[in-house]
Amino acid sequence: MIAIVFLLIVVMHFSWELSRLEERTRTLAEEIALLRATRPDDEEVAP
Amino acid sequence: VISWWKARSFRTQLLLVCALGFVIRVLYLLLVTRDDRLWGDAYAYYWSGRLLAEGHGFIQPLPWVADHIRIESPDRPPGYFLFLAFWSFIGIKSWLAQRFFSACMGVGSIYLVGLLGKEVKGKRVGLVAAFIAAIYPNFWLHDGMGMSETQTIFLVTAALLLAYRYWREPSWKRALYLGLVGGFGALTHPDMVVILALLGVSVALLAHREPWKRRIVHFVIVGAAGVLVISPWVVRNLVVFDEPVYLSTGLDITMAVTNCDETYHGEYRAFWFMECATRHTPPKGDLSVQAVYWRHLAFDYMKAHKSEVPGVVAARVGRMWGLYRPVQQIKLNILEGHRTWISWGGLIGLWILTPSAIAGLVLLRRRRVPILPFLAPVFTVTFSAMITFGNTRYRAAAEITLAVCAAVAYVALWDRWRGTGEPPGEVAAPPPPPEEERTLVDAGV
Repeated sequence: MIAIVFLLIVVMHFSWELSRLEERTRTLAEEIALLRATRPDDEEVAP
Repeated sequence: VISWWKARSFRTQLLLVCALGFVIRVLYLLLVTRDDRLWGDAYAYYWSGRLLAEGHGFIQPLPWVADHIRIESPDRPPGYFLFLAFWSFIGIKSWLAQRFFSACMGVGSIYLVGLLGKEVKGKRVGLVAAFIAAIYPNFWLHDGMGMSETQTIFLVTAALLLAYRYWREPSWKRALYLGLVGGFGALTHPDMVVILALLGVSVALLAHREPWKRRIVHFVIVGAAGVLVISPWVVRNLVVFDEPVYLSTGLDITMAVTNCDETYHGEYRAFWFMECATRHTPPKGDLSVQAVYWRHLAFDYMKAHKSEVPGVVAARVGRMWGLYRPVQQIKLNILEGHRTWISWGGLIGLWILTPSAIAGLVLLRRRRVPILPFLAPVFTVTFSAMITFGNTRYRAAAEITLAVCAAVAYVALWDRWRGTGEPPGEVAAPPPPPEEERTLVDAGV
């Protein structure tokens, strides 16, 4: 029973970490999309 | 191995069966549905739970997530997304992680099915029923998809277990627990109101050794406890919306997409067809006003096609029970995210379990075990199909009856084949005599 409770705590911790990383990935993806949207075309950047 | 297995206690054996079910569910989640797109009902459940945990209340998820428009939602009762909201609230917002914990609830259902089988007909029936629940796809396919049927199965099994425990030893506490569990069930799936009502009637009928006065009191306790759990949600709906809404408005729009030319004839007969609703423009107003419009649309169509309704209703029931266009139903299940091979497994399982379960019910009846509680989910899901459409998923509550009653038949068949009777301790003990009889027995009469 102690082992099951311990494993449950481990699972919950990893689930929490997974959720945090998923949120971070999503935020990063949205920021990249915004940067790409606001970035001028290559022709305009080229000298 | 057999002697090792026999040396274990019932609890250990049941936990081992649960471990098998856990492995199947986790493998299904990680290898099959892990990268599924979040959409449809699962989208609504996930985001409703998450938005609730973030303090937005019970709102329509899509308008908020897409455009930050707040629309109060009467679509679904809150039972399952309250469960998901708990995980979001403690920081576990990953859909994969939340589906994992739903799968854990599915494992809990296996344990309850085992206890139910034991309560009804002994330990071996409990273990066989739990084994069926562990491997039968129609028990576990919802677990990896984030659908409310996982919780429906859990709560219906708990309600049946309480009903049979009540039958064995009636008490007001057991009636109270039955009402509370049934109430939570109704908040998960509105169909459960009918199951709760039927189980409440069962309670009054099952306690045939109790005086009528006490039976009526217990019946009232079941109903009052159920109403107590449901009432905050119903009051909220009555206060928030212009038109009366009780548990949800899901039925109205469902009736609109299942009563039209496309669902009365041709390919989608007895199924749903979204354009039946989208080709109409509902009136302005909140979702309860639109629900009234959808309801009238469906009733008007039914009134205009009265002669066709009985045939369509029969086809809906046939579709639900794998008798009407079962192969097409497997293809249509893809719309809900089911894999074809799993749907085939579920259909073959259904075809095997249904006749076995009917045999099991006959055996239970012969042995004077009441079968009304087992029939309650079957009647309810069939009625649900009659008024909406035939769907594999809507049958979830009745799968418990199939598993346990089929287990009764398999154990009886095994005993007959071995030429042995039921071993001691396997026969379900009859309910104790009433108090006046007990007194006579104690007095040696």
